[in-house]
Amino acid sequence: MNKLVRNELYKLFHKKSTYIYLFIITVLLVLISYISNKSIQLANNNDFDSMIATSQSNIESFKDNNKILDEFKDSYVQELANIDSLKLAKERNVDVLSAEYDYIKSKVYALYLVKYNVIENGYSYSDFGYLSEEDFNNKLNETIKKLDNFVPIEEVKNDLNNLNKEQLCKSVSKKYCDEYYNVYKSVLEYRINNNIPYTQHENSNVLTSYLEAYLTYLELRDNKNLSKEKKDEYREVLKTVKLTQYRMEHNLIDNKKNVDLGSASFIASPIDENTIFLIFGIIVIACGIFSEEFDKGTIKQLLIKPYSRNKIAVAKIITCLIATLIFLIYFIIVNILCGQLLISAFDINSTVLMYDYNLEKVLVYNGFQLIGLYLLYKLPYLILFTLIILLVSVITRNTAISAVSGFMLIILPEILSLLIDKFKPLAYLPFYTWRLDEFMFGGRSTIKQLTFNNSLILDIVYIVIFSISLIIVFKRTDIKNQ
Amino acid sequence: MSIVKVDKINKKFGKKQILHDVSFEINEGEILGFIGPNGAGKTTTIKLMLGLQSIDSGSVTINGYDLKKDFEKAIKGVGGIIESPDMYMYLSGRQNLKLIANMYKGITKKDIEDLIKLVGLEKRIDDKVSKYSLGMRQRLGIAAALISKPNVLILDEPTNGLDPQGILEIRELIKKLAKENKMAIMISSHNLSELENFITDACIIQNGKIVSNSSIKKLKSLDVSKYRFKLNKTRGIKTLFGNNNIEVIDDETFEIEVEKKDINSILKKLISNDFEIYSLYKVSMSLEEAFIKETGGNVIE
Repeated sequence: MNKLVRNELYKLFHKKSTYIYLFIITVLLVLISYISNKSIQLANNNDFDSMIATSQSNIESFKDNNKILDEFKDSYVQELANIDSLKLAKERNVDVLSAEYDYIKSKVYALYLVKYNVIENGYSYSDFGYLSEEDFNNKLNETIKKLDNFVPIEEVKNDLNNLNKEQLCKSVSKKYCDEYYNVYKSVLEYRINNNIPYTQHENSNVLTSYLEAYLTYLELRDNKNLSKEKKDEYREVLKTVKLTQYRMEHNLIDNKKNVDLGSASFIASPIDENTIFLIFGIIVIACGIFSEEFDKGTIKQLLIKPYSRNKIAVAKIITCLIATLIFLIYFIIVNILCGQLLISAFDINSTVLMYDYNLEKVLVYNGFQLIGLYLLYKLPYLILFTLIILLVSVITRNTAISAVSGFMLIILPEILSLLIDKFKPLAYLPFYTWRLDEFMFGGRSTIKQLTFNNSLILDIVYIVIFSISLIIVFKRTDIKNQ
Repeated sequence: MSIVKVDKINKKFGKKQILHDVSFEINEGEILGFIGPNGAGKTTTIKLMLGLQSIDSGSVTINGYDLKKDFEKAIKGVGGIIESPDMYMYLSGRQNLKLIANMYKGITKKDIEDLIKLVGLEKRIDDKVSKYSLGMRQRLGIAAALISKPNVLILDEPTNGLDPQGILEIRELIKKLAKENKMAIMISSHNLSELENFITDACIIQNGKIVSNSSIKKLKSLDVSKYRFKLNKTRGIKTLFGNNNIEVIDDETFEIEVEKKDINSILKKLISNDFEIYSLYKVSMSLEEAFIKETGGNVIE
């Protein structure tokens, strides 16, 4: 068997088509990394001019014959405030995600609300006095002056000093008041200790989201009679709460300190079902290994060697799987190199935090461990996909049909998923059960009939059925006269 | 000693019976010519013998092992070329031979080099097979068939595409393998005139049935033979003997198909009709003639 597998691998890696495929995919991976990096850079750059232009064009849509429509007055005022805020931020080189920008924007917006007499929550801002153009400009200049002495974290300190338990507990039931107050206070203290003011950056947003999620968490936690939707909501808020608590306890809120939720998925992207790079590879290998041998007649030489057809079939299956694995590892390495060289924020050694819904716990991995785990969950998919194309290849003995069948395996599940509600048994087809990665860390399948256990059992059954079928068909195939 | 025994093999494709109780044997040291018109079932028979197609009924035994029950042992001592020598075109000749050698034990580098020399491919062995001519691929196919040092060789049109020198070399090689290595060799071919120079036995198949299976000597000298007469004239010969079995070659020569016992009466008739007889000899049937005689021409049912 070893000799057969070695021979098959030798043939595969001496074919031009193998290297053409690897080259094309490598180029694509490099391009994708480069474009991803450019997009991240562009997103992080404060492109003031383009943002101002967007707001200016939005303003025009709120006008009719140069008159501002009442129903759009608030939106109009927001865009005006945006424009002035952006211009100010550009002058002072202020990051649009920073606390300074938030401060500018909120102050300018408030001024515009008054100037245009916008009604909000039943209060007309004209109650506070109508602003003339001169007054508006004076107040705007005052705002700009205050900006020089603006210390973002002071706002957080003020909130902590002014923290009023009674006021806070208006949004929660009495029994949870103390708990929520303590949590709220701890978050403010964390912000102050780690210098995280109110910004639009991830480290600030995660703390804001944590407090919002904690409210929902308290509301649902002790309720034993939750509807399905509420149970799902509880799962998600618990995730937010646990993840953030972990990050706070281990001082991992600041992204500079070795927490990267993005690198692992980037490295693992070749394994992702939605990436067709690896699928092309499986098709290239699988078609060559059976149908091409029939097409070219070389199968005759192979079959008159002292090896049973069973052994030859098994050797070819094993070769296909080994080759798929080799391609996969190659793509992961290319992705890592591209990440290291082309993506500035990428770090393969960074810690990755994953939340397990079943364990209700945060798990810590490095990039390699996560890839290994991802691969394990993806194995049934890779094996089944390969076996199905090999089976088609042996039955049809036609390279073109085998190749098309591979592409059908990608398209068909999407089409059939529309019919699953009507024809429930469709859910148990291999192209749904092989999605074991959906169950990673306690996740759920998009198809409600499927659980991890029944999917895994079915996958094993399918692997056995397809393997045996392939061997039987191959054994019984007569080599037709040319 | 019988190395290969084909015993009443039958094969059907759909409703059509392709082979009917095909039986023959190949002994060690024999070169069996497997001859038949197009569509007779030659390639199908060979494929059944090598396990490339399933046998509906009957058996094939090679070196004492039943092909169905002990395939690996039966096929171990067999080398072959079926239809055409299909090699991996993207590999060189040497790489193709190495792949085959890997599947057997004890094939050394020297063995491969000796084979390359034997088939005369030393200068081109490292070129990709896609660049080979048909004749070169044929040579490579023969080398591939011999790589496992088989004692049974089954060759389908082995001289196809070879120049006369190449044909001569292959012919001598096959004769040598049969004689010195005591190989049992089976060759199927349409080139009957070429075959008759070196096969020892001939098996004729027509419409899936064996119509003749005998030594080449016996096949070519059947009961009814052709005799050539050289006379002073041939005018009136057809009138004298009727048109039966007479072929006038030229003004002085004619041939007649008769049994040996009738020669005397023919001589008497010629002499009594004032014909002068200069020579008389038996004309051996060529293999082609014997083949056409046995099969009655190329009719595929």
